[in-house]
Amino acid sequence: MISPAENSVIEVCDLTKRYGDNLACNSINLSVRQGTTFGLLGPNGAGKSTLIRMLMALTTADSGEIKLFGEQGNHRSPEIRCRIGYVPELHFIYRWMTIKEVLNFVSKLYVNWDTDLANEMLSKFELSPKKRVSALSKGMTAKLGLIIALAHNPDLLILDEPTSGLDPIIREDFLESVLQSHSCKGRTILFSSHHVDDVERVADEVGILVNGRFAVQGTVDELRNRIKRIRIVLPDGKLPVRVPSEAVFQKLSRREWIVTVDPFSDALFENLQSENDAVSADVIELNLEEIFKDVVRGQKPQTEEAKVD
Amino acid sequence: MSFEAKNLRPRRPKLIRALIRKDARLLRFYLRSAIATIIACYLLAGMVVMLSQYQDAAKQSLTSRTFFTLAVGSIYGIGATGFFAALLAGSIFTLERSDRSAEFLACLPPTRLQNLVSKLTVVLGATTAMLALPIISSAVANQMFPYVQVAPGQGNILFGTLEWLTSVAIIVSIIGGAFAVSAWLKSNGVPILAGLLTPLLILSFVSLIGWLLDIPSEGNAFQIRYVTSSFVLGGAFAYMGCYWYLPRSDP
Repeated sequence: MISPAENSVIEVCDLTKRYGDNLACNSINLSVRQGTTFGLLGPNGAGKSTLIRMLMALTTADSGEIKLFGEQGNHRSPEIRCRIGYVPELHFIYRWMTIKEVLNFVSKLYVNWDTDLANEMLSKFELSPKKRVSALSKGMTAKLGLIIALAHNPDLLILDEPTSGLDPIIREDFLESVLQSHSCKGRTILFSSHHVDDVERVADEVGILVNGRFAVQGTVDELRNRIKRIRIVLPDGKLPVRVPSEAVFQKLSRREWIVTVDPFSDALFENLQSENDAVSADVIELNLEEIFKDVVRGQKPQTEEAKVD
Repeated sequence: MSFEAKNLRPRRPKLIRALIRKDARLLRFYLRSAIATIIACYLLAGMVVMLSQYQDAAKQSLTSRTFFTLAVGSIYGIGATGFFAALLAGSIFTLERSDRSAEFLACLPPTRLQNLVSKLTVVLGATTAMLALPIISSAVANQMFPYVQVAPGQGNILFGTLEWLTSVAIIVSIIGGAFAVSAWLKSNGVPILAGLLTPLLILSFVSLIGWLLDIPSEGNAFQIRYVTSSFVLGGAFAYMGCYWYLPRSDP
C-alpha cells in the first residue's frame, strides 16, 4: 500500500460502501500525491466507479474517510469542486443546449475558466460550437466532457473510464490531451479504466481493484519488479508440493505449473524449484496487462482444470 | 497537510444568473406555452363576451366591451396561471432528473442551495409574471366599472380583495404541492397532478375540520379560513419540498 504522503491530494481511509448485500467498496485505502497520475484498474463491477462517485460526493460512503485537498467529509465545497475536473463514463450534458451554450453556461460557474483553452480544444477536436449536444456522437460527447473538465484548469482531474466505447482514433486524441495536460500543468490525475494499455501509458502509479479492495498498488515499475510468473515443469505423475503464500494466481496444465507470485524473490524461485524436483524452471517477466489478468483471475474462484489439489 | 489557498469560490451573482438562465431555458416550452395561453385567455374572453350573456351589455360601447373582456379574461388568466404553476413547479426538478442532466449539474461548482434558489426564482418569477396580467387587467376593469352599464348580477365578475387573495392562496398551494412531490420523483406527471389536487385537498380538509369542530361559517369566515390554510399549508409543502431536495443526491 502507498503510504499517505504529506502532499496527498486524495486521501482515502477505510472507505466502505454497500449496495444491499453487494459490497462495492471494502475498506479501501488510497493516497494520491500531488502531480502524480494514478491508474485505477479493475474488472467490471470491481468498485472503481463507486469509489470515484464517493470522491466526487455523488454517493455517500457507509464508513471511512475521504480527504480532497485536505478537506474532509461527504460534501465537496464549491472551492474544492472548482479545483476538480471530472470526466464520467456516461455524459449527461444538457442535450437541448448547443456546444457553445454548454460552454457559455459552464464558464460562468468557474472563476478561472480559460475561454482561449476551450476554443483551442474545440478546434483541435473539430467540434462545431453550433451543434446540439443531442446530435453529438459518443466520442464527440466525450471530447466535450474533456473540454469542460480541463478548461477551468483544475488541479485534480478525475477520469472515470473516459475512453470506454470510443474508437481507437478518438481514444488516442483523448489520451494525448490528458497526457499533454499532465505534462504542461503538472496536475494530479486519477484515471480509471479497464483498458490496461491506456493506464500503462498514462499512469505513474497503479492500483488494481478487485471485489471492492485493492489487490495490488504501486508504481508500474515496482509492480513489474515485484510480480513475476514462475514456470515449473514437474516430474511425471507429480503435483506441486505446496502453494506458496506469495501466489496470486496459479495454473496447472499437465506437467507445467505456472504460478504468479507477489513479491517475487530469487530465494522463493530456488525453493519452489528444489522442493518440487523441477525438471526445468524459469521466471517470466510480466507486463501490466498480464499482471492485471493474473491478479484478477487469482481473486476469482478458479475453474476445475486450473485448481491444484 | 497544506495546500496553496486559492480563492476559487465562484462569484455568486454571476453564478446565480447563469443558473436562472439555464432553468428558464429548461422550462422554455412551458413558458412559451404560458404566454400563448394568457394571450388566448383574453381572445377567448372577447369571444365569450361577443357570444354570451354579456352580449347585450357589451354592445353598448367600446368601454363596455373592453370592460367585460378584461374582467372575463382575468378570470380565465387566473385559471391558466394555476395550471401553469403546477406545470412549472412539478417540472423544475424532474425534467433534469428524467434526462439525467441533474448528474452533470451535480458535478459542477454550484451548491444544491444555489440550484434551489435558481429554480424557486424561475418558478415564482414566472408565476408572478403570469399573475400580473390578470391582476392589472382586473384593476383596469375596476376603474372602468363606474362608466359601464351592467345588468343586475353581472357586476360580480369583478374580483375583490378576498377573491384575489383566494386566487393567490390557491396558486401558492398548487406550487407547494407540486414542489413537495417533485422533490422525490423523476417524472413530472405525478407532481403536476399533485399540485392541481392540492387546493381540493385543502378545501376538503378545511371543510372537514369546520364540520368536526362545528366552526361557524357565516359571511366570509369559511373563505378566510380556506385562504389562511392554503397559504400556511402551501408554504409548508413548498418548504418540505425544498427540505427534501437539499440533502438528496441526484444520481
